[in-house]
Amino acid sequence: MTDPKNKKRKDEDEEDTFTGATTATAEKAKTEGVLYLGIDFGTSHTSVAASNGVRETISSHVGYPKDVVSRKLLKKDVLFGDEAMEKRLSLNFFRPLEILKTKNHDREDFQANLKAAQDLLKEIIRLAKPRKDELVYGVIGVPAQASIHSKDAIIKTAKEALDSVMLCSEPFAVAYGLDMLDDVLVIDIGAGTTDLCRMHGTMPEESDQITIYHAGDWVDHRFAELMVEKHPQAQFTIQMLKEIKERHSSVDERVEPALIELPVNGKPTEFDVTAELREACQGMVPPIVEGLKKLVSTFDPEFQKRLKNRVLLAGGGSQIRGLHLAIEREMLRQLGGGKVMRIQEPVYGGSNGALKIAHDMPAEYWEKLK
Amino acid sequence: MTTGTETPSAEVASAPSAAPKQRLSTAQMLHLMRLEMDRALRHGYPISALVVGLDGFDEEHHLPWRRALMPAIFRELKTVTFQNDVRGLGVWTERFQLSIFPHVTPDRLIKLAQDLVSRAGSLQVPGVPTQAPCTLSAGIAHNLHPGPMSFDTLVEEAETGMGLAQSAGGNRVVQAREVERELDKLREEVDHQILEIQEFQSKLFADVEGKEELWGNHLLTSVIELFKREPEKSEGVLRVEKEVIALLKSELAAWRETSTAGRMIESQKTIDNLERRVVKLTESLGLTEAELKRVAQMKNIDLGISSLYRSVQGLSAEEAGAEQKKEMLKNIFESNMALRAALASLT
Repeated sequence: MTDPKNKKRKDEDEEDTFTGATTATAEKAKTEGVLYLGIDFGTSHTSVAASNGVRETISSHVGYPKDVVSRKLLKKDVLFGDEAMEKRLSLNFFRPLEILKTKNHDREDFQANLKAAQDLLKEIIRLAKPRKDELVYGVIGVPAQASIHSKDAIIKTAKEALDSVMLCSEPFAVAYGLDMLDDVLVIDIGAGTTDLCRMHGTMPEESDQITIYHAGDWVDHRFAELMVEKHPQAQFTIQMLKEIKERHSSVDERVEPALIELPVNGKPTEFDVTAELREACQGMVPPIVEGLKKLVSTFDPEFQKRLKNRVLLAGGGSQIRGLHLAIEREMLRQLGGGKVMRIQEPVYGGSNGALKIAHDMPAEYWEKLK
Repeated sequence: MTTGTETPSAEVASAPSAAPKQRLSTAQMLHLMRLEMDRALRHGYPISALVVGLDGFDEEHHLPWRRALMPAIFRELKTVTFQNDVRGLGVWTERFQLSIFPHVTPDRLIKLAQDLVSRAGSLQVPGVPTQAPCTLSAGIAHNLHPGPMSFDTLVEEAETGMGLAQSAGGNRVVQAREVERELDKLREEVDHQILEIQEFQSKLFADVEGKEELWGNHLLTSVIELFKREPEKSEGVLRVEKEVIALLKSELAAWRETSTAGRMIESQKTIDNLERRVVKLTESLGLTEAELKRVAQMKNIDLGISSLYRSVQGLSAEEAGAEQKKEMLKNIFESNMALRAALASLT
C-alpha cells in the first residue's frame, strides 16, 4: 500500500529527475548519489522505505508457474504479493519468510523457500526504484531468532542488489526509528511471531528479547478453531479468515458487528463472527503481558515503573482495534498498571527505523561491509 | 741565517744611480714596517703585505741554492715594484721574503705578485742548476677587511696565504682570507648538498622493501656519515666531497628513473592522464545519459528515482543522544562483522 503523501513525493521526484536530465551538469551531480534502504522482511508483509522518498509494501508471497501452460497464461516467471496470492492455484506458492525465520532447515522445501525469499528481496529492492548510477546501502530488519543459514541467504541475496548491507533486530529498528532508546518495551506483533524487546540505552541482548508465537498466524488458526466450533457448516480457508481478520479484527467490546459471508454447501451465507474474532484476538493478550512481566520483573526496580509506562506497540498486529487498551487492562491486572502507545505507522515502523539506522551509519562501516 | 734588507724599492728606483744604498738591519726595517702599518691604520689608507717563498729547495739539502736565489728574487721584486709604480719595504731570509706596500690595494698587489711569480720561472742564478725550476708561492694580506688588524696579523695572514699556495702545488698567488671565504662557501655548498641528499633519501627510501633499494639507502647513509665525521676539512677534501656528492646525485637520478619511485612518478603521470580522460568521458556520459533519459521517457522506461543524498550522511554530532547512538551503530556494525566471519567459517 502506498501512502498518498508519499505517492505525491514520488511524482515530484520523477518530475525533478526529468528536469535534471536536460543538462549534463545536473546529471553529473546525480551520479554521486547514495540511496539508503530500510527493509522490514516480515512473514506476512515486506516493506521498504528509501531515501528517494519511495515506500512500498507487498505481502510476502512468491509464486512460480506450475507448468508451461500456466507460465504462458500468466506471462511471468515469478509472481509476488497479492498477485501471487490471487493466482496461487496455478502456482507453486511460497510464503518464504515463514520457513526462513525458523531454524527448521530439514524440511524438504527449505531450499525452494530460500530461493523464493531471495526473489522476494530482489523484488522489494526493485520496487524502491534505485538508480543504476547510485550507491545503494541497505539495512534489513530480521528477527533475532532467524538462523544463520537464513541470514546468510538474506545477505547473499541483498548483496546482488545492494552495494553494502547490514542486518539488525526488528524491534530495535522500530525503537531506533522513534528515537526511543531508553527504558522502552517494544511489542512487535508480526504474522509468525511477536517479539518483545527491552531497550535500556544499549543494544538489546538475548536476555532483553522474548519471542512468542502468539502472533497473526496464531490468531488465524484460533479464529478457524472457533469458527469450526461455532459455525461447523461454514466453508472457509485460513486465507479467507485472514482477510476477514484484517478487515474486522478488534478486542473492543463496543464495535460494529463483523458480518461476513461464507459459503454453506455452495450458498453464500451471512455469519456474525464478532465474538469469535474478538476471542481469537484477545487470546494474544495474556501471553504478551506474561512476556512483558518477565522483562519488567528482571529490570532494575528503580526503573520498572518508567518501563511499564513506555510500551510501544508495533507491527501489523498492532492494527487490531483496541489491542493497546486490552494490553493495558491486562497489565493493570498482572503488573499493577502500564501505558501502551501504538506507533503511528505499524506497516512502516520497522522499515522507517532501518532507514534511519542506514542514514546514521558512518561511511567507513558501509565500506567495510561491502 | 742570512738576512737582507732594502730601502723602499720605489725610492731606490727613483734615487740617482750613483747614490749609495742605504742599508738597515732587519730589526730596523721591521720597525719601519710597523710604523708604516700604524700610520696606515691611523689614517685609514690601504696597506698590503706580501710574503714570498721558494717552492721545493728544502732548507737542509739546498740551502746554498736558496742563499743564491733569495737575493736574486728580491731584486726581481724590486724590478716588478718599479714596473708597477708602487713603493714598499722588504726584508728577506733564506726561507721567505716579506714586503709591505703602503697605499697599495690588494688588486694591485696581486698583479705585482703575479708578475713576480711569472718572472721567477726564467730566473738564471749562478750556482743554481738550470734544470732545477725556480717557482714561487706568494701570500697576500691587506687591511681593508672589517675587524681589528695589526702588523703581526697582517704578516701572519700573508704567511698563511703563502702556506696555502705551497700546499696547493706552488707557483701561485693566494689571499688567505679569500681562500677562507671560498672554503666557507664550499662548506656551505657541501652541507646544503648533504641536506638535499638526505631529504631525497628520506623520500626515496621511505617505504622500501627491496634489497637493492636498501643497499642504496645504506650506501647513502654511510657516505653522509663519512662526510660529517671530520668537522675541519681542507679545501681539497671539500672539493672531493663536492664531487662525490655531485656523482651520487647523478647516479641517484639515473637510478630513480628505473626504481620503484621512478615508476611511481611515471604511474602518477599515467593516473593524471587517465583522470583527465575520465573527466572527458564523464561529460560525454552525461550527454549520453540525457539522451538515454529522453528516449526512456518516450518509451515509458523507469530509470529509478534519485536519492535525497549525494554522499554518505552519518550521524550528526549535534543530534540528541549522538554518543549513545554511535555506540549502538558500532554494535550493529560489529555484530554484522561477526556474522560475516561466522558465515565465512561455515563456508
